[in-house]
Amino acid sequence: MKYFAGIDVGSLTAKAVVVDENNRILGYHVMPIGQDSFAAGMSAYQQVLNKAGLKREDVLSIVSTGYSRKRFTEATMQKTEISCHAKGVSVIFPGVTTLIDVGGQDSKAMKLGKNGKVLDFAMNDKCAAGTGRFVEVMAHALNLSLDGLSDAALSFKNELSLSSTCTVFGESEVVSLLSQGHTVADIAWAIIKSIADRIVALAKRVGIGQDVAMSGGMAKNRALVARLEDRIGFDILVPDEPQIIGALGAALIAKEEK
Amino acid sequence: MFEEFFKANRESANLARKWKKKTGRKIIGVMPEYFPSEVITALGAYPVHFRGTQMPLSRSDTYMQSFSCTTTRTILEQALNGEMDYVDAFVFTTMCDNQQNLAEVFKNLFPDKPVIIFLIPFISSVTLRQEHLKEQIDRSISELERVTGNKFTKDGLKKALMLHERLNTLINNLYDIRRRNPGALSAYEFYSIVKAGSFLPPEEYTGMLGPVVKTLGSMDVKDVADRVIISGITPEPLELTKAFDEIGLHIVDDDLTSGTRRFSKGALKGTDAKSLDNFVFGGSPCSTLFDPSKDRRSYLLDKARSNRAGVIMWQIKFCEPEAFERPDITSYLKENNIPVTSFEVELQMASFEGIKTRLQAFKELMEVQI
Repeated sequence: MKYFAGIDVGSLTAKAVVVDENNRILGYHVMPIGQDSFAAGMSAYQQVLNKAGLKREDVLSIVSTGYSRKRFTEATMQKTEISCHAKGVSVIFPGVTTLIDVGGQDSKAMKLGKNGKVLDFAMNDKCAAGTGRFVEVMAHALNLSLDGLSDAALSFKNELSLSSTCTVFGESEVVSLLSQGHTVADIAWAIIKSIADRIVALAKRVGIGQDVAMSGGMAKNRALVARLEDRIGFDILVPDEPQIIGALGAALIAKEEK
Repeated sequence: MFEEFFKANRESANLARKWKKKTGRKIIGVMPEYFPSEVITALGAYPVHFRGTQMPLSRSDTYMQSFSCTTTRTILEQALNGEMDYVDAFVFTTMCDNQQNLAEVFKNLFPDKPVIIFLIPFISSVTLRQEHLKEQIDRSISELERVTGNKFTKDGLKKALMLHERLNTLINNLYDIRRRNPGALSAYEFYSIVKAGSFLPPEEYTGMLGPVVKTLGSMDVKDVADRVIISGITPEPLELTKAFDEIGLHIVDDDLTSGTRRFSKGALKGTDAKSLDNFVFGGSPCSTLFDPSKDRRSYLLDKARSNRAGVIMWQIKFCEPEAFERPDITSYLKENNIPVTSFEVELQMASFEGIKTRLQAFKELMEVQI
């Protein structure tokens, strides 16, 4: 049996996946980056090998992806997270035509063809608006965890809006809304609406098809997925482990390229 | 082979000061874009072109809004930091609102340095356009005569036209070599050569260009994949061209105001109305010029097809003329199955990681599409 690995060294977390020649996932691992992206990537790789009961020499090829992909020097090849997420999601949800990937520090929308072929893509600008970082900062302002913010948002009673999409000004606005006596749930929903609107605008740049999937850490946020579904008018397919889709795609590309 | 050009870009101000001392010629600071440098040369002066720098902004924000493009803001920063002390007068064109405002800021901040404004008309009548350009150049020449203390003569103009024609031909030869043999030099080397012409006296620059063009022209042709055309105003910050080389995207041609749009139409042929009109409006379509007879969309489509290339829109943040055209051009090229993407930069950016991801993703996309 031949084995292939994909390592996604993102801005906040490192993800590793090992697959066999039948595209079967033998193991995956997700861990925080900390201060050394190479060490985190290597550690995630070693952990996934342990889980799969493999040694390094068993792995025929490794593809790295994510912002620190070039720092992971163990890789046979580097691919962008755009190609890797597209490939990964195409195996889990064949037929998906639009993929939204919202990670820690960027967000992307992809228009997909057959077998995860990227036909077009759009990325957010360099600021944190429309990314997981935006939600993280806002959750901190509300003294909530990321899951807590999602749960709170789903129990909102009154519609509020954040006028600013800027993370810095948005945080000030959240503090201001708290001081005006608005509930945490209503403010949390306003935060979710704000980021969702940015993501929809991004996705419209490549065109939104009927078969939409979402990957990246923010796909775990149920409130965000619900708001996005409401805005685009279609259900969104979310993998069981949306964070590992990039690493999975990288492993699949490693197999194809071999 | 390219070190002299790299050095000219690294040490532009010191170089200009050195040349001024050596030749005793007045230096005219030329702001982007479309003022004929030929008339400056004809008056015995030396044109130095400013298109912004990568320096951090601090003092210029006192005088310009944060939503002005960083081309104009960093030009002002240079001037406020004394990096234009060697300039005797400035020539501005009215290619965009930001630059028009910058001219007024310069008038107020540097009253001892004449500011000459060359108004580019936004009118549909070609006859009126030509008359207007003639009036503008005559007035500009009079003002430049006062600055330089020299008379504008037919003989001086004739010599200047010949020199700039030679320079222009060499640059066009360089572009031809790259189209034919994109692997002959890197993107960084190519645009370093072109940019160096902004700071060197035309005769010096022409002398440097000749041997380089000859050497590059004799190199073996190697076909390359992953071919792109860049479109926009100017490829700044220049450091970003290294990302193309690092990723393996080959720029085979461009549609830049400081590049093909400027050089492809040839040098100025004379100061009559028709020659001026051809100098300003005779090139490829430009977002800063009003010319209803031209369609940049189909121009880029033809260019992409003939070069078997994708298109990358190099957008400088808050550049309104380009921002207005970008969505329409992007849609048109996509409808015609040309891979196209865009990125937005500020000149003082130091990290290009996000843009590198876009460029690499675009390369991966082209590999499966072309």
